[in-house]
Amino acid sequence: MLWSMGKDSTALLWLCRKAFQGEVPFPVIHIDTGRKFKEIYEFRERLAAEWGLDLRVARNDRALADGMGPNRSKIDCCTELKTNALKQYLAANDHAALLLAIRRDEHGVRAKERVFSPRDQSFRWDYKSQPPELWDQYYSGKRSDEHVRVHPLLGWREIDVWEYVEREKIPVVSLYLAKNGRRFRSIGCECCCGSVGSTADSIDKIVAELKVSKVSERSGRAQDKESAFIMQKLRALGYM
Amino acid sequence: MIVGHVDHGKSTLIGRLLADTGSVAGDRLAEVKDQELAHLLDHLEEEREQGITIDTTQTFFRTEKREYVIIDAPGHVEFLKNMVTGASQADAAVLVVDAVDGVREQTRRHASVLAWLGIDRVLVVVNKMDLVGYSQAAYEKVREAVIDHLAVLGIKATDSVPISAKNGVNIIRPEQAMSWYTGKCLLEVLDNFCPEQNNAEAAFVFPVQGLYKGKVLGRVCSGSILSGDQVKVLPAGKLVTVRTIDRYPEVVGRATKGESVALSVGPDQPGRGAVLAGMDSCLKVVRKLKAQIFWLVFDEVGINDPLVMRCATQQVRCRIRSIKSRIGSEDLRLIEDGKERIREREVADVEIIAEHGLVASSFNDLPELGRFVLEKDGRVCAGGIIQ
Repeated sequence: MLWSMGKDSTALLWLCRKAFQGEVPFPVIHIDTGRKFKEIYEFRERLAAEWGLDLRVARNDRALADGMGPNRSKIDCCTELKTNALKQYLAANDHAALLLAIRRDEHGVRAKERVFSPRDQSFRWDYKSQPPELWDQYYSGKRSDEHVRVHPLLGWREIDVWEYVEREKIPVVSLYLAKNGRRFRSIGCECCCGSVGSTADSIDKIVAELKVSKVSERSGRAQDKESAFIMQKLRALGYM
Repeated sequence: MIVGHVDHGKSTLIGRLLADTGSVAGDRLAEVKDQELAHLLDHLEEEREQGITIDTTQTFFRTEKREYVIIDAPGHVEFLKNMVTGASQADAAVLVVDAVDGVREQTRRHASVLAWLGIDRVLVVVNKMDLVGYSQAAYEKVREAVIDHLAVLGIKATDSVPISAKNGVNIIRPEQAMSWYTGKCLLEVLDNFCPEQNNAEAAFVFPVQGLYKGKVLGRVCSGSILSGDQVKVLPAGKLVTVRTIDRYPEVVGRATKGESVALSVGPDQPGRGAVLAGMDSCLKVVRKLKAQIFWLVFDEVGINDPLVMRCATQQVRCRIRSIKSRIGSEDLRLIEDGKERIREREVADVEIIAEHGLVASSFNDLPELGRFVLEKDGRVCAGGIIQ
């Protein structure tokens, strides 16, 4: 499972623990760009120890040594430090499936996803010809697949995640809570995430805020803005 | 689920619903021009450039009465498997028909999919009323043609509404332009759709997803269970006792329809594919079953071709033993050129024989065990409804 320490993948991790009676019986992978907020790293270490996770950190060290960063080009930076870091990790570790916490309402291109979504050898997402997915019968996989991406939270909305976090009392990174009138709705790399004006300093206030909000969740995210179809291009290349 | 022929305005209608109910973030609304509301749904570059919907999307909006998940359907015939993918998740459907163009190929085909899936709450929407001068006669003519076609399929339309999605007419409020229309506006009709009732009296049914550390994992798909209850393990038929019910981290005394739980049972421990059933359940174990299948892919299938059936968590090798009839999903015409093969987009009544017994129900009695997919060479090729 890919874990970014964000609210969505932490909620998914919680669901996995519930399904497997308090354990997560598979590796939990953090794609580390080296540019995450320090609160995120602290949260990772704390929860990995508390929940007994088999944490793997995947980094594209070569690109980092080469100085890759958002100042070059955002699409190159995401591709090198995220997609290629994952590719390198999967080349060294054989996994048939990857669990990811993407949601349809985050981004229009993610709305087009299937719950079980195959990727070929070059990680390509064949969005023009996806397998049929009827009821709760999902794609069962072919030998020629590199891996199958599994998206259990695809039908959840941002507010569903927060209501679930509230109900289950799931820990979240403190950056989501307002401090001095600002908070993060979406967290990731420090350089590419903007905060929003907010006074929601508790989970129940976040839920209340989202019920009236008219700003999209990823409005603070740089990679979504560079061009209209950058997310599609990133995802077609294997981006999460 | 919003269905209908290509260019009859499905995506525009959804864009209108999102915009007029204030469900779109301001920064996203600013991205698309008002005339191109459809762009709120079509997010692939190819979709915007060509002005078509390739794959199904789900989007969300709410009214004072309830929350909606809107499923968008591609209107082009070559994307029918995507339309069926979307429709399989729907509780109700809105069939959009162009007031000028009338009933067309995909109007009929999409209606066939709804009938096949057992979606019987269908609202007929006659769109682009602005192009016919909001004429009552034009509306009635198209409306009757659609209602007649649905009737042939055994669907009684819940209601019908004349609208202009582009101009926002009769969507969230009644409109002066059509003073002759005294019915409800679109959103009002949708808000009055009732959700399915849960039958609390139904027998307990629990398809096993897996066995993990001595616990039987799965989701209750019908009825309820108390710890201490005795249940049947199907298809084997043995009896076991449910000792504890866990909904981690809690231990609970009872689980009901829709809940995912871990059961500790004994003396036997059934694994994936088994179905736990209450003592009062009349679920049957069958090797032969009659079903209506919808063939979704280009490759044809023939009698006795090796297939795999997946029904709930069961997986069994099977083959089509006989084809009773084949119907074209577009015109509902019986296809008479042989009963040996089924082709893309045909609906066929077939008899299927499985390698060993599986637990099945008629779709009407228990949808989770009354529907299945067929795989050929590891690919999902068809969906099936058990009669």
